[in-house]
Amino acid sequence: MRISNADIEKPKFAINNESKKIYITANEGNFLDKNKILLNKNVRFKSNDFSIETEKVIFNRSEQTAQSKTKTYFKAENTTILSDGFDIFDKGNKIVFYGNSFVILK
Amino acid sequence: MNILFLILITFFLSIPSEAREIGETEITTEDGIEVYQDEKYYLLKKNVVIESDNLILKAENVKINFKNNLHDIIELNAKGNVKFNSIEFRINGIGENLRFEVESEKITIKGIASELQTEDIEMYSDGLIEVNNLNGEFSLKGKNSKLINENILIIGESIDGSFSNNKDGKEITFLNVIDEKISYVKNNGSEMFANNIKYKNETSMIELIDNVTIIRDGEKVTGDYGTLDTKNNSYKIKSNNQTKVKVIIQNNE
Repeated sequence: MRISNADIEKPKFAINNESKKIYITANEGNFLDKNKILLNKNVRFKSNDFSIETEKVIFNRSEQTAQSKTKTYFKAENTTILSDGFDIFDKGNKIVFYGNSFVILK
Repeated sequence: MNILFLILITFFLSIPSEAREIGETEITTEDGIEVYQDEKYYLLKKNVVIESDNLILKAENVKINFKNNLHDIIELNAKGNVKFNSIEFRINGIGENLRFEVESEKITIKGIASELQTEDIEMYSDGLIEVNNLNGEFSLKGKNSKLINENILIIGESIDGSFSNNKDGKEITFLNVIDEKISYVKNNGSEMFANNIKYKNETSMIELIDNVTIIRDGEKVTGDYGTLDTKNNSYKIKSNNQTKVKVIIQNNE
């Protein structure tokens, strides 16, 4: 029998932007405080325009921000970005990819 | 375990799994990327390398404006030690800043020791070099501005002109060179100095205005205004009332 330390199994959240909505899913989630949740394993951000995959993300529910320091894979139409982590803020308008980054434009 | 083996494993694991294929553009940065989706631009930070089938560009930082998606580039601004080379289009350049506007095919290079070289022409400036590939217009501004091709050497603080393509390469169809100290044009064995030198291909006339000197075949002529007909290689020089045209026959023996 598998025992999970997660506070939430298969958590789902969303960042609401005026122009689009970004859905966030993961296998596990742990509350760090009232607003911050550590999302673990197979963390995925998905909007109509792009998707981001990584392993660990701290999501702030009240500020609608997300931060990751694990390897990140971004995919949009004809665009792929690999980086060492990312930040999403300004309701998903601004995405900062950290560290050595690698982009392929098709 | 063999340390070298460990190092090699670490190295290969750190290489991104996706590599550029034909027709794709690959970008690498050392300090990440900032994407502004509403404003439609992204910043590539630190030691940026952009490589495609036709172009390699290196710079400290690059800002890219896009239309709808990140790959849909409309303008590129590169800053800091910019170097680029296009083998297909036979063009390369260096400078402090570079701006490339995709739709208008306009390239602007700024900064000390800027250079732009094509198959036919070399341009140098410590200020600005601007070339519009669609309409052939070019502009060089600032100290040490210089344009060289097979037949002509132009030096001046402000050089404006336009090219047209003919079967032998690019041909200058219009030229306006201004320098408060002195502008210089060397063409077909004639050396011309003036504060302002103009040329129009349709009239085949080079016009020299203020502090004019023409040196040709060992003869040096000075005055205040001159014209040189490039068709028959003849020239006229006038002077203001107070001064006279001065001719010096040089002994080259």
